[in-house]
Amino acid sequence: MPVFASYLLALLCLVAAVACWRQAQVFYRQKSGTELAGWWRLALLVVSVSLLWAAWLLWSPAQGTEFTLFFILFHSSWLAWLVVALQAKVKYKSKPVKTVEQLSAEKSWWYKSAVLFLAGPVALLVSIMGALALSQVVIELKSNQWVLAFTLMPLVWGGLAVWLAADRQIGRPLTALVVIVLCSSVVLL
Amino acid sequence: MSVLKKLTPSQSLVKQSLRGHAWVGLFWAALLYLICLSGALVVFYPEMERWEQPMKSEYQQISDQAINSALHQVQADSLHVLDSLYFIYPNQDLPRAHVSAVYQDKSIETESEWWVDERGQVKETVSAPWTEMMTHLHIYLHLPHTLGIIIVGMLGAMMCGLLISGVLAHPNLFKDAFKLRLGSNRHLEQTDIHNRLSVWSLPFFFVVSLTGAYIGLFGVSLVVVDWFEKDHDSEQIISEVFGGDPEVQEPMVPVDLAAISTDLKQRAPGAEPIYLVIQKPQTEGQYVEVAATLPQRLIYSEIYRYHSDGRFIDYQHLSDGDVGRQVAYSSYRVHFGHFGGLATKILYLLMGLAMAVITVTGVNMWFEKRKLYNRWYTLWRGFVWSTPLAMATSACLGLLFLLNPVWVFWSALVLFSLLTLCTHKQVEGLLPQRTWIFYLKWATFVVLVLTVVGHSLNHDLNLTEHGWYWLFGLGAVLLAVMPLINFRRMWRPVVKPVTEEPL
Repeated sequence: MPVFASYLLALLCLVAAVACWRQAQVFYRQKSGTELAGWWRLALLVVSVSLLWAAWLLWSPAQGTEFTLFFILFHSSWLAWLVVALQAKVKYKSKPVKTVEQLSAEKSWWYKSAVLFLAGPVALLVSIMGALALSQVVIELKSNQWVLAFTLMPLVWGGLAVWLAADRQIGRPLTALVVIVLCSSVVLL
Repeated sequence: MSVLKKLTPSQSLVKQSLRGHAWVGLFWAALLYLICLSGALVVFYPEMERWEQPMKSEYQQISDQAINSALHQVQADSLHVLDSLYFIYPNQDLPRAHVSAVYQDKSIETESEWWVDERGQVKETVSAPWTEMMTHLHIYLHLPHTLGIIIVGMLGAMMCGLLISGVLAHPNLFKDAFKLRLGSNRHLEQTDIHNRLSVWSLPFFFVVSLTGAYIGLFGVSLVVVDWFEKDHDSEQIISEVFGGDPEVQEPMVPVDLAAISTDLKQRAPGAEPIYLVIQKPQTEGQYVEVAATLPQRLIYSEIYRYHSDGRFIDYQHLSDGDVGRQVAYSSYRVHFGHFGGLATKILYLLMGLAMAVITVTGVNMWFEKRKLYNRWYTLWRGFVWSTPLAMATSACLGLLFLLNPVWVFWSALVLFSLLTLCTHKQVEGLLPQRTWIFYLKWATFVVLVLTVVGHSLNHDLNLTEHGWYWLFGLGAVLLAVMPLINFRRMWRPVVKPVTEEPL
């Protein structure tokens, strides 16, 4: 099959898969507790997975498995956006809104600066230590350990930063930082 | 149903996640917006470079003799000792070759990249200051390189955090998966756009943020890892991960490119050379590396090493080495969307623009939810719409009047953002804010049209012979048209909308 045709067919499979998800979601929103509705949802999910598999089979001979994986993940996104756009509801009645100019400050600048410092350099160091220690525990080969550590680190750092900004009790994420440092030190030193 | 309910985060977790998501997002929003918008556009950086510095004759094939001739010419003309000499092959995105010299003395600031014609004659210097401005905005935020790349990497990590907290803060992930309410309630509208765009493109954002953070923070991570590793220093870690350099000590002979080409074609028939580099030229340690893409592979390239006389030394095992090495070397193509041809690039452009929209709507949501219409919100809206105008202005003044694009970009961004403040409702401004923003969008379009037409006329590019340049310019202009369209009209064209503001 020509590459262009298989590309197009694979996209069509993804369109159908997204349509199945949409239908399954409609059933979910209806909150119909009957057993039949549950089976319908399951059937739609099975069909959508089969369609994804069909897209995989259409793409992979010409594009290879590595490209195909990303094609399926990324093309599904914009196709889902299209379905979302087609379902959009537009209301043109606008109500007057009472607006404000200022909000009361929740926390002091000292507190915010401390959180910024903890979420920045401190969480960075902790995340590198944590990621390196974890990679040493789960992987044997040195080069793979380092790559896993470099890859895990941003995730750990981002997670810690958001947690520090989120928690009203700063003690909890702080404890987590200390625990990560202690556990990592046992592995690394 | 029960499985989905079990997966739904608790109320307190949702509140906490939302809080963290909001504060981290607000704190970094401006920089994230710059990175996302510039990142979406620089997916096309080879094309931007080609468009910025047009050449009359372009080609996609070049002979070994021509390559040899270009390399000899640069070596002969070089006033400084060379550390390595690159030849970058022509390709579909940039159908012309260039040579690049790296000097042993890194402090030398002189021209080091030149275009090469089809016969191997070294031509003018590679100079695409506007493209460089855009790529450096994305990679370094125009800061000193080491600091800039760390900050950009950090923003990648923060995006990973925003991704995690965003999912946790979204209890109706499945229920609202296809909901989009446009129109009357601006808070709901911004929320729906933010959530629908972000939820459906989670895989893309995850991959791009993670690879961006990995690329940006590699140096910092390496320093810390080096400190903890007793048996390895930074250089050894890099060698272990990406493969080390061969040790060559042989009498210096001229490079036999024909022999190298023939061997490569037999050894890896599907490989397409990206660049060739003569390491340690004109010394006894001289050897040649050829980096080539392999079909259907995400790794940036495999690197084949040869003695100067064409004898094969080894290859770097980037395509079949440890999993870690292959993953690490695939991050570049996955991050920039340089795989799978033009369709993938367009896809990355769309998804990158969606990331910018998500950043903007995220901040808008925060203000709209609190009904907080203060100067900060006005400034934010000004910043958002001044950024594309500043990019277009820097292209216009940089290309047509040879002004420094970096200075023009930041000056225009600051100026237009501050001017927006004059439209804040408490100030007796000349224009209502909505009208001013509408003008900013129109100005972007007009400046871009002027740039495309002026640049083409400057370089005497006629439509029939140099159709590509006009097509690329048209693509850029179409991008500037998009914010001028009121997408709401497309759904209910018969009803007159109350708000005229495009999404």
